Amino acid sequence: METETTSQTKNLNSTKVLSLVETISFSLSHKNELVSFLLLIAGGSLWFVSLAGINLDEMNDLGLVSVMTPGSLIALFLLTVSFALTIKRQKPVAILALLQLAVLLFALHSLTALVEPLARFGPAWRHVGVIDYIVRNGSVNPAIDAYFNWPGFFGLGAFLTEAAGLNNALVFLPWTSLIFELLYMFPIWIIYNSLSDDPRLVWSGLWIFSLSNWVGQDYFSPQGLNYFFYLVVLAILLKWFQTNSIENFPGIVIKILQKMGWLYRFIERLRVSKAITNRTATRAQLNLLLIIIVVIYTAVVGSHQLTPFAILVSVSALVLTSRISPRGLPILMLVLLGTWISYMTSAFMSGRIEILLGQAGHVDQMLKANLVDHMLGSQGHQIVVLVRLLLTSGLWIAAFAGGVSRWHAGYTDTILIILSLSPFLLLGMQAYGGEMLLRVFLFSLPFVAFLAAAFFFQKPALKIGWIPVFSFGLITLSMTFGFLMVRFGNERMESFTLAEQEAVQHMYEIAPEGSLIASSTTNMPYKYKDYEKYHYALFDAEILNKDVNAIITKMSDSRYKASFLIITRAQKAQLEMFHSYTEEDIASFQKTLMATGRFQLIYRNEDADIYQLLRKGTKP
Amino acid sequence: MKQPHGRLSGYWPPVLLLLAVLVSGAIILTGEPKPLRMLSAFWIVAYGPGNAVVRLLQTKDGTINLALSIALSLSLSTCISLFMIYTHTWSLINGVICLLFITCLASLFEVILVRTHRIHSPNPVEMVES
Repeated sequence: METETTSQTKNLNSTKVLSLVETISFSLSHKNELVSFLLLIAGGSLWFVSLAGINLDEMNDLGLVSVMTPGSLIALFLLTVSFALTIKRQKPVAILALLQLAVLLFALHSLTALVEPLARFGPAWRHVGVIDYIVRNGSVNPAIDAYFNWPGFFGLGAFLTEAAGLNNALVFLPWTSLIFELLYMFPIWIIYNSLSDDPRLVWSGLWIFSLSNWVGQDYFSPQGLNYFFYLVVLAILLKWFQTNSIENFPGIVIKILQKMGWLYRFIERLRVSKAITNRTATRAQLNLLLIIIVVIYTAVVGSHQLTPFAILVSVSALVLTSRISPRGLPILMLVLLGTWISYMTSAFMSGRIEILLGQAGHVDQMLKANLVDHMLGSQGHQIVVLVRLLLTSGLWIAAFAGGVSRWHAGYTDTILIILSLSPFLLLGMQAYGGEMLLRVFLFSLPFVAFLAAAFFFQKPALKIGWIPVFSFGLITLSMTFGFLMVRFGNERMESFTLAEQEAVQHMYEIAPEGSLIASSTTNMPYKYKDYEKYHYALFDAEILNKDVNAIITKMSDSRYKASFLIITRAQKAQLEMFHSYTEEDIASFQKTLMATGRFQLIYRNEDADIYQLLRKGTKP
Repeated sequence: MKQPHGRLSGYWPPVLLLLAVLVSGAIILTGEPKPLRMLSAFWIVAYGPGNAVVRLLQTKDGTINLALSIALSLSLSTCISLFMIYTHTWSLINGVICLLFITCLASLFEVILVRTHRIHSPNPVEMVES
């Protein structure tokens, strides 16, 4: 028995030795991967350690990048080198590439959650307030604002909040961005794999997408979730419903085209890509997939104003160019969308329809609101905007060059071109609060990123030289630094301090229901509770013009039980960054306010002041 | 009885998934401690019901399974929330029961398909790439 045990132990030991030898030999034959893995570990660790050195108080108008330590920048350099080494191999080790992508996303999107004392971005706090309303009332009041007419995301949030036994949804805020970004990777991976059989190109595309998604719509918001749905719908359609034969055209069209030989050959070339393989599935499976698309689209229609249009436009473009088979899908989508807008948003749309439709087709106004208005402000802010423009135009130029070089290499990326360009049709709708261009960029980004990656790696090659790898590393490294600047360029006004939140909390404690809470901008951690119980107003124009009388007139409205004006550090930062307002300007405005004798300073801490309007005849 | 082992192994995944969703529902509705309840809430709202349906597709690709399961679960939860909001039937119990019902239905359907040898047979019906 003892001999048997000894022999078993010996066998076990020899197996261990063998496995160790195998590991070492694997490591030696995969020298790049070993170095890459070590660089990843070093980069990730250095990133974590260097976070401690970030001092938010020293942040200037360049945003978070102005307070980042050299260590964190070196960490990003190591991470980039690590990934570049991984993709040198034709078939990168998937688990390694996955780890690198996960670490990159963690580094970029957990940054604010780890260094800032509170969840960032005012609108995210507001969304918590809408969820709080639904939890308390179990219904919506469409008259309050647009959120209550597309309440899908908020209903989901309310359901999740209740199911998790939480008091409110604030706990979700800091990490939502990272979770959404990780979620986006799955459908994009499916899309890329349905368009190319080159793993190197797929991983590079994912890397470039992660570095280019600086738009910042992945916060706790309907659009953040609906972007995931948008990607999933396109992933299903491209994976299972893609057609690559000109025979799908109506017979008469084919006959005409065949008579024009060269045109037929050109269109045939446009329609068939070497990289695309034909995917087939059973009728039952395809039907189930279509049902899944309809369920997802229904959720989208009830959750967000813009995303259903983006999906509709993209799907219609694919159907019209015969790139996908379910031709009736856009009609079904249009019916669902039309039904929702006609019946569920009628209370909100009545009276606003002219304003909303009035902007349609006014491209000059659109460009002004989307582009020109963003280019004003302090010097630091203008640098951030310039880098944004450079990064965006650089990406599009790389995508164009990538598309051309793929064409020369024998690939035809018609689908990518269609999906990159179709979101631009949304520009004809309206300015969308000056954000439409950003949203168009976002909807086209996965496809543009893929083409940009193709600029470096046009076709699968067993061996590639160091030049494309080096240039990929160098350009993506500069994109990484650029990402930090453009994504967190507004961080001075989009982050909040504990003192600011204390002030807001104090305001809710003292303000009776039905009061007016006024501010210069929406950059404030407010509206997260009792959403419907207070009136809110923005006095940005009045404060910029120092028109105190207009403020008094508006705040004196008899509807309000009391009126408060709150001025916080983040609001001042926005005035300084976007309107070149100086600290002296703000101090002078506050002096003028007090000089009227109509305001009383009722609360002050290091980051916030709260003024209450005194009713006529009341002494301070 | 031709392939009892193969068929039994085909029954387990939908049954286990259903059990997991049922346990999550019970944890949520009985108000168990927060960390466990939070996990259960995410499981039932963001994965379980969608996975029960997506399993019927018989895809073998883990990424596709995960992406579709999460997207479908979140969409179903959104649609159910919308329905409860507009029909003034909002309650946690109603929502959880709806999601449990969908999971039960999909799992039962999968079990029936396994029983009738339509899936998990020696030549499974699957996404074929030609």
